[in-house]
Amino acid sequence: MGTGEQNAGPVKMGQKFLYDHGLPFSKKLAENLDDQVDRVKGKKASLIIVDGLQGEGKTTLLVEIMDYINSLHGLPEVSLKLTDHPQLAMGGKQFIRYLRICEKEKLVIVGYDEAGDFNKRGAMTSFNQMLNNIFSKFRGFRIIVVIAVPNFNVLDNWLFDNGIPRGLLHLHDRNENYGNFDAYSLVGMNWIRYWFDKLSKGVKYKCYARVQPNFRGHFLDLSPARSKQLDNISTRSKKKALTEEEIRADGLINYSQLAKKLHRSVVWVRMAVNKLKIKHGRTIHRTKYFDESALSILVDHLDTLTNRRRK
Amino acid sequence: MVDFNDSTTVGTPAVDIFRVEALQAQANTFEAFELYKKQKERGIDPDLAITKSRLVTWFLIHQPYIKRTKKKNEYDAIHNVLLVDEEIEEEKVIEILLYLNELIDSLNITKLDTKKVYDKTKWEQENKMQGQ
Repeated sequence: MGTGEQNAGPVKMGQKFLYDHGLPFSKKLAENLDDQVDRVKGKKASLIIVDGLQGEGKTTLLVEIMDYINSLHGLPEVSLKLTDHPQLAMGGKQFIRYLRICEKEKLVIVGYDEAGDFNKRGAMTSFNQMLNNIFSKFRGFRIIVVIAVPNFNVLDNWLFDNGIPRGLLHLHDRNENYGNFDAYSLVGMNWIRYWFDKLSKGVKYKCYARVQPNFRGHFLDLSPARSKQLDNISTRSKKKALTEEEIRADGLINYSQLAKKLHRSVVWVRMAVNKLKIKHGRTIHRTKYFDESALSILVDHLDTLTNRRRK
Repeated sequence: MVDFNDSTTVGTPAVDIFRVEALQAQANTFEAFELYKKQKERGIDPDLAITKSRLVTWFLIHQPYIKRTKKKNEYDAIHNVLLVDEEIEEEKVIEILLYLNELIDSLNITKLDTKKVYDKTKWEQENKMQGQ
C-alpha cells in the first residue's frame, strides 16, 4: 500500500481496511458513484459533498471516494505525498490550481478539504464565489468534485438552484472500528436546507433527522500508512492556516502588503526599508513580517518625499 | 349516467363522460359474469345472454378506438363474436372481457399504478424523477 509503511501506526487485532466486497465503504455508495461517473461523461457538473463534525472522518472518506473513482479509470490511488497530492486540495487556492492540474493530467476527480479555511473572515463568501465560478465556467472539465465541509448548509443557493450538488454524505457517530454516513440526494439536501432555515438556532443540527436518507452506510479507516500520510498533509495545511491566523492577530504585514497599502512597488518598499533601516518583526516561512509601526514610518517617509518634490 | 336534461352532463366534456361510461359498462359486465359464475357453481344451468349483451355495450363504447388503432383481424374477431355470431362460449366471453379490461387499463381509465417507480437508493434516479 504505497510508501511509508514502516512509519505506519499500530494495526489493531482484526482491524479491517476493506469489506468483503473489496471496498472500504458500503457497496451502495459505489453504485451511486458509478452514476456520477456516467453523469460527468455527459459533460454535466457533479459535486459530491461530505459533511460532518470534526473527527467524523470526512477526509478519510473523501480519499476513499477518490481512490474508487480513480480505480474505475485505471488510475492509481490518490497521491498523499506531502509535496505532491494534486487531487486533494487543502484550501481554496490549492483547489483551483489542482483543478487545472487534474484537467491537464486527465485525472477524473478532485477533492477539496476546507482544512481550517473557513475560520478566516469572509472565507465562505470567497469559497462560494470560487465554487460558483468553477461550476459555471468549467463544466466541460469532466471532473467530479468532492468537497468536505463541516456543514453543507453554508454553501451558496446558486449551486443548489442549478442542481450542481448531486449527493450528500452526512457523517456521524464514528467509532474506533468504522464511520457511519447517511446519504441524501439533491432533493433530500434541499429538504435539509429547508429545515435548517426553519429550525431555531439551538436545534438546527436536527435538520438531518427530519429527512429520510436515500441510504445509510459505513466506511472503514485507511490503511495505517495512508492514514499517516493523510494526517501529515492535513496537519501541515492546518498549521499553515493557524500561522496565517497568528500573523493576522499580531497585525504583521509583509513587503507585498506594505506595497499595496502605500500604492508603491515592492521594490520601492524594499529600498525604503533598507534606507530607513526598519527592522522586521518576525520571519515566517522565509517571509519577513513587520509590525504596524513600520507602516507609519514608511508613510512619513513617503510624505517627506512628496513635500520635497512639491517645493 | 348520461342525462341530457341534466346540466351536469351537458357541461361535462364528452371524453370524461365516455370514461365514466366505460367504467359503468365494465362494472355491469363484471356483475353479469359474476352472476353467471355463481349459477354455474350452484349447478343451475347458467345463461351467458346478460354477460354478452353487457359486453356488447362495453365493446361499442370502445369500438371506434379499436377499429382505428388495432389490427383488422383483431377487431373483426371481437366484432364477429359479439355482433354477428348468435351463440357465444364461455372461453370467448372471458377472452373478450380480459381484452377490454386491459384496453381500458392501457387508456389510463383504470390504471392504478400511475406513480413512476424508481430506486430510491440511487441519488441520480431520485434527482431526475424530481426534475433536478
